[in-house]
Amino acid sequence: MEQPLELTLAGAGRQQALEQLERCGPLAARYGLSLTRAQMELLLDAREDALRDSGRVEFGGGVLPLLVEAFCDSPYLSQQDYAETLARLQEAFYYFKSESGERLDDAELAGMMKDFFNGPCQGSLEALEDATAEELWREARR
Amino acid sequence: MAGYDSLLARAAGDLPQSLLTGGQWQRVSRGLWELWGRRAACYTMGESTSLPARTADRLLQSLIYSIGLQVRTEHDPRRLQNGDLEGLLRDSWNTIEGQMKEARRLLARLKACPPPVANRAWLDTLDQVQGCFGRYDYRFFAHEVPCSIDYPLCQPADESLQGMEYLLAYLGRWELENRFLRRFGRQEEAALLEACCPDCRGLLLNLYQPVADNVLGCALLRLEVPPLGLTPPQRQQLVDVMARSSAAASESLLADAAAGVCRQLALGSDQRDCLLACAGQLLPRLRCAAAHGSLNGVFFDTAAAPAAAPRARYTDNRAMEDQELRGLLEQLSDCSAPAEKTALVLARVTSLRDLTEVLGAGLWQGEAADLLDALDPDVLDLLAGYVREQGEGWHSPSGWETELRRRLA
Repeated sequence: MEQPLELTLAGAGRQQALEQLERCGPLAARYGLSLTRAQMELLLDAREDALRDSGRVEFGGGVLPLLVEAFCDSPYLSQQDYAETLARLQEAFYYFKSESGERLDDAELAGMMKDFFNGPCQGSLEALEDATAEELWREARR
Repeated sequence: MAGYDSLLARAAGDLPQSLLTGGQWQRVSRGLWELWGRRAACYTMGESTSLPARTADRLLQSLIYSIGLQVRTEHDPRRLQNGDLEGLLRDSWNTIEGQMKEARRLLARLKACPPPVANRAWLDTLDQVQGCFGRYDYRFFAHEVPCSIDYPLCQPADESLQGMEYLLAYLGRWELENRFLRRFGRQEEAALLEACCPDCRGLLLNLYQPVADNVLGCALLRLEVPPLGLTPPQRQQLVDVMARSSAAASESLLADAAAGVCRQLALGSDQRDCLLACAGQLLPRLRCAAAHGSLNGVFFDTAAAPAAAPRARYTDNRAMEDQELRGLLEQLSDCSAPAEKTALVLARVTSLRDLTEVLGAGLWQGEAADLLDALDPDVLDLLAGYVREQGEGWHSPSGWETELRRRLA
């Protein structure tokens, strides 16, 4: 039986996101970080949950490649918790995006999150997740 | 997503569903998804991969509306069947621009002919519509016209319409009602409206209906209009007419009366339809009130308008805050006709201080003359008292006191 159109369309978007994430592999590998196929699938599942929880819609490949690019050289990332960290960064990203009232573009926000994570948070995801968009903004202005 | 398919089906308007095969619907739906993604990227200027679901939904609604509008405009489903969604979208923008041009034309006609009384909802809605053209973002949100429409029409525009289609329908009906009102004397209409509703300036009141009702009432008694008013004996005569008539006969009498008005005033088909609809709304009220022996709340006598209290209006009310007054002065500078300025001042100004500010700073001397003409003698006396208090050598920037002295001399 032919699957419903919406699943076909959603599947096409997911495939694109997967391909874009795979293309980030060589960059992350320079810092000893890599994702298995299964981990990528889980990250894309987490993406759908995070978008739904934050009341957002995403077209194209999503923001994961941007987060990989921004965070792969963080001294606080390790291969052991790389996938889980990316999932939590992704969730925090959509949260901050909404909280900032769409005033920050993706690249700007990813940069501010990275600086805050590496700086005041000293690699603590909990500290980053507890922060407000205003705190990120203030730290970026210092 | 089931909602997504039904939204898309609605986009084709009154085109039969059978014109699109199942495969065509699949292709169109896929194409619409891709176009939606491209429009979202345009909206975020490529700087964001995600956007709030509510915004994404509005973008989709706009796409569906715009494509549907163009399909309906062309009366040809072939481009939709062939999946030319981007082409239909871009052509819809030209269609919408044409609609905006027509809407501006109707608005200009309304602004050139102010109502018989400075009804606040009328003036506020004119301002809102004027301002919405600059805010209307038809490339992303074509289905939403960003203006607050307060003035109630006698025959409301179809609320299933969206975007500029709705605004055009609304302005068209409004302009049609205003054309009818312009057939009669402003002062007599004002007296009738004040008899109908003492706060006809402040309330959300349709100005056409009381006038049309009285015109129909006159026609029922085979009286020519103008004059518009119906005296108490004439209203009693109508009670007797209704009492003698069955429901069907009353309906026939009212239809004949409406036809007679259309002939006497040589109304066009659009105004005729509006008047007939008004007659249809009048009939049940007429029969119900007549059954209780009085038509006092249905028809009005222009000679029986309650005396206004012009002096109290300007002495008993508070002055505007500075920001509010500055806003009014800006609005006055945007008005194109003196009559429009006069109507705006009469609607908004309720204190002597603000009246003198507007006369001095908001109007040119010739326009001050128009406003002074519209004010009651009591108010002119108040202004004369104000001028005396300023002292012998005092002059206002516009010189309105010279016009005032000329009138009181």
